[in-house]
Amino acid sequence: MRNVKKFLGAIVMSLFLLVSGPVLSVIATEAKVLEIWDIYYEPNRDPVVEAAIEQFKQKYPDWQVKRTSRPLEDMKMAVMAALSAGVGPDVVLVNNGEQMMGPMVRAKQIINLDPYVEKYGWIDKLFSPGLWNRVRYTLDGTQFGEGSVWAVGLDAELVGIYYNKEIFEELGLSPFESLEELEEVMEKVKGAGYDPLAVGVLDDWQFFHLYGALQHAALANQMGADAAQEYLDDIVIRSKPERSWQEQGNIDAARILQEWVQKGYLVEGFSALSGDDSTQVFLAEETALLLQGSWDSSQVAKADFDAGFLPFPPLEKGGEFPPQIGGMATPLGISAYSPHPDIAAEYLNLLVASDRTVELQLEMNVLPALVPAPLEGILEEELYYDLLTSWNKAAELDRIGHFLDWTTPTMWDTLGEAGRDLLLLQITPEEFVKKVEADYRAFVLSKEKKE
Amino acid sequence: MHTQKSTTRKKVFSVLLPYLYIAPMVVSTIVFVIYPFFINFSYSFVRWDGFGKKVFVGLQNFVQLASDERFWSAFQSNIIYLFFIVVLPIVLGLFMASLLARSLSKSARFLQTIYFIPQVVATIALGTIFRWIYAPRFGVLNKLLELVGLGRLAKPWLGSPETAVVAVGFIGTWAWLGFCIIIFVAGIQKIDPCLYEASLLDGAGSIQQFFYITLPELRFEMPVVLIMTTVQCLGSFAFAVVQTTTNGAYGTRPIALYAYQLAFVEGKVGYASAVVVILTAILFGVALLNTFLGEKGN
Repeated sequence: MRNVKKFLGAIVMSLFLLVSGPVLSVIATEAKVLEIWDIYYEPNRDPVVEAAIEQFKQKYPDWQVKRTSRPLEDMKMAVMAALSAGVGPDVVLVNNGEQMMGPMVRAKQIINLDPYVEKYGWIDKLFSPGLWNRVRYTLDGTQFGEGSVWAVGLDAELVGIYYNKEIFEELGLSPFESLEELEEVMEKVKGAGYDPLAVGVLDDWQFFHLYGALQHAALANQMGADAAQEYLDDIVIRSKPERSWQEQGNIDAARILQEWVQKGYLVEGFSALSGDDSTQVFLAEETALLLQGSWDSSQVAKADFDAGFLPFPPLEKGGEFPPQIGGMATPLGISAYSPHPDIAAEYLNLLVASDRTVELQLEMNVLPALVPAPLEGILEEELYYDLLTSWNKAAELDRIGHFLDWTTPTMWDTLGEAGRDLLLLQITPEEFVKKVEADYRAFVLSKEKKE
Repeated sequence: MHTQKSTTRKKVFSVLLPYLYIAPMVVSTIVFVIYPFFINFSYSFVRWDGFGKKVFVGLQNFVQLASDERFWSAFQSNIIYLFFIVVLPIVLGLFMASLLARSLSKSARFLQTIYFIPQVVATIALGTIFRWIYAPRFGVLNKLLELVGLGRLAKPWLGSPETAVVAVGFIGTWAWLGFCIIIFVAGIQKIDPCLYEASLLDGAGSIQQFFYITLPELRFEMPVVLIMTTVQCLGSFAFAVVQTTTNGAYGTRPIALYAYQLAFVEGKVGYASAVVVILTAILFGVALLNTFLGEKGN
């Protein structure tokens, strides 16, 4: 009998613990806790977030901060589950476009940040006007790229070409100012026994950058740089039905890419290298050039050789500065279920716009959201100087190009597959563009149908 | 009166006790398996982006699947993986287990342990290791080929539609061969040696012994191996290996990874659920077929 009592006692205790968990969590929720779900766990972003949290705690000593940081897809799953159930954090991951932002705006799960944008003066000091369009949606969530601001990113990203200054010096090469000069450089590098350009398309995203950079330059050559920017904004974020991928610039870019493959300008085995692998190939001095984003600048800066960074050049020497692929870091917004949105906005402001954030970003070779990025104290021969000046120029001209996979929800797959076929010379440039256009048209039509 | 009450309590308790013992497993199965399965099943009839309202679309998701090229491409990959993750490990496992089980030497036990090692390595680590083995520039495989004078055969194994599926499939063979060997060795070792001795007297050779004694006596081990490898082929193993090697490029994407892509990249949760329902149905089919064949064999 004593055993029975003990057993029942254990059950009662277990039930108590089961029930007390949620009760305690409710009590904890009622306490002053700011909950943050972000994806800024990388070594060059995490310290910035921690510093912002520290500043927040100093400003609001009676508040606690609970932060969770995970990779993008994991965090997206958590956000989907939480917000659909009407719970979740105060500050939440809101990836751009139809990936997350559009559905979240339509489901009224995040709040409009316009009042905070105005209160903190974000638009005047952060990013370029065009870049802000990438976190805008109309209030009904039907049109991307227009309307209100729903999220803000921590820092900026820019894709360009890193080059090995020592190989350049050894071969008597100068930084290129046009596509023609870039091709001359690659020819000489190849002649000297190096592979010219490090790029890895196994996981697709670097193909989007490679093709995208050429496409942006080819379109600028075809229709003028500002018109090209407008065209790119229209197809990538606004999904304008009157626009089409059947443009000569798009075909030209695909053709140039196939020529590069045939001439052996891309690193040997590029089809089986991932985007991250390509940076390692460049760091191992196997190639003279690397097409990569600013996010790898810290790694490149620590290389055993001096490296420089150049924006992707126009097709012809003296041509207009073409739109450069770039954007803001995957942004954060404020949950509509947050009981204290003003406090959450206060944290966001400390995170994206405080002096400490910029200071840390400059220390870690990260592109700050602040424009123009300050150049004081940075030596002209440093890689970071090249990066900041390229960024400042693109931001000043408001010519920040696009990550092409944003175009439609299925574009990653379509462009990835068509891109692999293009690089393996299994389809023509025209067929490549036709495949991409088919995906774009299907999305535009389905969008019109829904509306 | 008191004694009668106490006896009744004890009786009730003794009846309830077994249920209490299995309660944690039952509850966790309901929470983590049965409930998600039914939720997923219900999602397969809706259009849902994961955030907004769910719109009931009936069987539309399933109808759409029939003409979805990407689904059939993933299905085809899975068929190829069935050969590499199920058929090949079983065939090779039977052969190697037959050799190892009869040997009493310490080296045989050592070899069994070596073959089993891939099973204790995390699948994600397996994928990463093999990505480097297959790497075009610094990979061990290409370097080895160059070393033995077969440099002309070196290629970007994961970066070509001709070799990527096979290269990924081989990781499955390597990973699951050890599991098959261990199970089959255990099965062979419990076969009565008299059967082999009697067959020898009847003039049976090794091959006849294998087909008429070893293979039929493994009728209980075979379903275990078949189910385990099939589940891994259609489920988490192929998913993780592909994600860490090719991320689905060059026709390597299995159905599970396609469902993930649909749900968490393209925001088609309802459609992805329909894909998962089909995947589950295939698994159930294999399990039922296996049970049927097992019973028939018995």
